Amino acid sequence: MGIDPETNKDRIGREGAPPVLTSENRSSGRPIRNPVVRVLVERWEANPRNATGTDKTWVENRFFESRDHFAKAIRIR
Amino acid sequence: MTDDFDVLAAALNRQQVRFVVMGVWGANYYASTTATIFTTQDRDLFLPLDPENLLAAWKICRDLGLDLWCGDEPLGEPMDRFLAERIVEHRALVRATGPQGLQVDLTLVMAGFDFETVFRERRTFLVSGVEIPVARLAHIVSSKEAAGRPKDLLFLASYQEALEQLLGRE
Repeated sequence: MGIDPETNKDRIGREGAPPVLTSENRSSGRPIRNPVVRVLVERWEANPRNATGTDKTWVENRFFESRDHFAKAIRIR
Repeated sequence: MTDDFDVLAAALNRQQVRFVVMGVWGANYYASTTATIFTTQDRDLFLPLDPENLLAAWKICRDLGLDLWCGDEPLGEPMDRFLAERIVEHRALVRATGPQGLQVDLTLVMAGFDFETVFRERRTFLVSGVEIPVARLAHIVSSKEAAGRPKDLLFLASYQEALEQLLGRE
């Protein structure tokens, strides 16, 4: 369907733009205590590929492909 | 490829059951590459402390042919509001299992969070055309911190490394 499943490029469009903390990206509730992880998560959540409405079908497809692959493994020695 | 979980999620949406995906499977929806997808046996659905909502979720699972378990025992019959109230009262976890290995935990607890906060700020992703409500990554990670079990700490360490690599490439 014209989507690079690894990147959702058709939805990104703004790949080169730095993530912006919008109201959608501001979290309420218990904050992450580890400051390094907190910043990493904020940056990653702000990435357009993680916006609401993004097609994530590829995640499940890859997960099951990987699981099926290892399920077929046979010990040969 | 339509997974049994997507069928369940679609049915829950149709019946307006409120839920969000949390835990490791929820974090997987934020993956960028196969390398950042974490293996997990189950999928955790966070539901509100609402017996009617919980009962509706159970009935959908049953109609889809899933078995429901509470601890080591099948969820008792009759599956009614009285039973749902007892489960809510005890914040007990009910597990739905399917013939294809599907394992879904219907949980009423997310460490450090109340349902309304998580639901209000959820992201909705599409999987095979089905809308999947997913907890914010910040909430999933914070909840893992709050839970603090060895497997949570292991996940956090691995996830920090994965994020550093992902963002280092951006």
